[in-house]
Amino acid sequence: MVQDFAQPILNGILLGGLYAVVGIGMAMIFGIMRITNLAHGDLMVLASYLSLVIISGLGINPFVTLVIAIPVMFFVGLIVQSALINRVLKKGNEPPLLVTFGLSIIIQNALLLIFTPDAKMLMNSLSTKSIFLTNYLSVPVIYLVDFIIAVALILVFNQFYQKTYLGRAIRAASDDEGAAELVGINTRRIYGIAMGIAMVTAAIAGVLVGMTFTFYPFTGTQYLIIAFGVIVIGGLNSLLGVLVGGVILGLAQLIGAEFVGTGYQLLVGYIILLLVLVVRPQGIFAKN
Amino acid sequence: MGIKAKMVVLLGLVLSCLLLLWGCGTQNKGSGASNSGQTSARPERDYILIGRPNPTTGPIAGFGEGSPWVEERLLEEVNKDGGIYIQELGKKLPVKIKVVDTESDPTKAAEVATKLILEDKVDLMLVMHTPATVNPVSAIAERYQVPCIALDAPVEAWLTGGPYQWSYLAFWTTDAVADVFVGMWDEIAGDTNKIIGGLWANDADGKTFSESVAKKISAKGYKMVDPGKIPANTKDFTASINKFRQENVEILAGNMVAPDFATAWRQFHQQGFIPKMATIGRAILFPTDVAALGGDLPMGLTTEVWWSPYHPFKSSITGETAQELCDAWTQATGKQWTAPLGFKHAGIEIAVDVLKRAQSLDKNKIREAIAQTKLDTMVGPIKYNEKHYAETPVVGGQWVKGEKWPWELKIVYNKEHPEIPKTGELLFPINK
Repeated sequence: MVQDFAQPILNGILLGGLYAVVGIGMAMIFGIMRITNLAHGDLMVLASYLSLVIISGLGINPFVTLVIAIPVMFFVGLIVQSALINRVLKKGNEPPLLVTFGLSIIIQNALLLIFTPDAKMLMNSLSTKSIFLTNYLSVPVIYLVDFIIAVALILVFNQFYQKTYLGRAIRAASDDEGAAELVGINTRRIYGIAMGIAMVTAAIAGVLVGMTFTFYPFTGTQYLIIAFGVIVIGGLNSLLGVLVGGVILGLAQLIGAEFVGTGYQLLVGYIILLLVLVVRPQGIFAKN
Repeated sequence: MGIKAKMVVLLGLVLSCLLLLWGCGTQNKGSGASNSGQTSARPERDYILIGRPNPTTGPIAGFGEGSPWVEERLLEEVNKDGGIYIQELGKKLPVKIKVVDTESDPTKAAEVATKLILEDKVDLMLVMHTPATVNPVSAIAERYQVPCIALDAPVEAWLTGGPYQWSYLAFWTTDAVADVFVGMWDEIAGDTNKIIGGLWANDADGKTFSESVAKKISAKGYKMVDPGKIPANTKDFTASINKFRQENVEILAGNMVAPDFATAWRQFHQQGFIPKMATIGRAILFPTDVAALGGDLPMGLTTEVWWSPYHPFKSSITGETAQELCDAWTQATGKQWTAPLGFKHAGIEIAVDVLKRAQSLDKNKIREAIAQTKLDTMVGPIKYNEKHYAETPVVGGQWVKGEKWPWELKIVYNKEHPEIPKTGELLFPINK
């Protein structure tokens, strides 16, 4: 009995780490600008393809491609924010949403044009390796890597927002745009940088997801749904909440599958999401 | 969180669900709107127009790849000497094809088919690639009474939209594929405990397949372990693997989309549970999907083969063999062959044959000509039955390391269709 549940629980927690990496960038943008970035999943898959291109050009390890992918995605974020989203920011909640919706469709179809509909994967030796603890319990290495990076990422960004000037400026702009401008913060620029940082997390998520799963030009949307689940459970503006949200979603799915049946795996995750929305709509870790 | 913020999240969720559902629809029953059944008269034009809805973009774009390359290439041959002689008009007319993108969406497929009929006034509809494309287009063709030649959608799924007056389908039945699956297992069953683990997608295909297979194996002493149908985009299969391990499964059977199977198969390896045989429908049809599994994971996977360069068929128009068509494709694109190529070719073959026999562009006469089709095509002999379908052969294949390509599909089972030669022996077990 214990044996039966050990593996799902372990995998659920580790998978939750990956879910958290997927959600973190979206949570940041929502926390800072109150914008739901519907293109987040697609920007993430864009980073997967970017990494793929670098790998096929240079033949390096997927992790090393981050050296190039991170700065590129940072600038993609910066440009998306300053050229598109900043322009409609003052026009209410819906226009930025629609801009990101349009962006999502454009990215999907651009990827299709360039890369064809074929399945892609960031080849690596980790994706099928496992550390066997007992005959029945093993730790999938790639899941473990995903999880460690998730925790590290969240710790780093937590410190960044607490300790650095830029981090504080971003929080200030988020808390009170007018007051932040009064003390000399260029909020538009700050938003651009914030989106750039969110895209840095998307780059990391894209590479991890690309190493863990197969991807296609249209894969982004399913990660958007995961990101939604994670940030709604965890709290829309809490980084720690994102990690916890990811783990709860992962655990709910895997334990749900073990208890109720594989067919209900995803459903159980979303039922937990609904429960959180009913009981604590701001999310488990959100600050009021 | 304020009300406004909540509204944004809600709106976001709704929009993203829309995005997700974009390509997930299964079939369109013909959107019940006004049904005049009338198409205005054929415009005066000096060519024959075929409408060809194709999933060029979207989740099933892998099937649509190769169009219009295959079609244009063949029509060039047809039109070389001026096209097809139509007695009724007393002259030769070239054949043109208009390929339009369905975006892998059944609703969009119905929409583009309607446009092809009402605006382009096509003489004939030619549609293929999965029920998501074929079913809605057949429904529209029925409504506007336009002859429709359909290929590449499992017969059972297509028949749910029938009975048909104007549409004709050529493809295999789910039942025949189940025969191939069980036939392959029968060959190695003596070396297994005959316990089958089912990895079935929670969709129309997954359900019909699991039922067909379950029906066939019960009398033969197999046992099926079914942990539950798998929803699309499942990211973890630990529960299924656990169940299979407990029940000591030695044969894996399944029918699911490629990305989900890739996730599953990787996790089977991560968790050190590899069955002696794995036979999976739908997910491992295309070499790119197989290669994307990574490492040695594709080794020995078995699946259904609906067409290959080794099929002993040739074009009724050019005499080109299956092998030659695949070679031409590889030369033009640098890519490995895929089964839809043969069907794209056969579609044009049937259309041209029908037009030649109809000797008219009258829709009724074209329809009658389709019904009387008796043609040896690139995908085998086509002769429609009273339910408007013709079964094309299906055999069993296995992915092994190749010489020219990283992974090549060998034909290892042909009991129902010995005319299609085996090109390899079944590799068993795969978990050594």
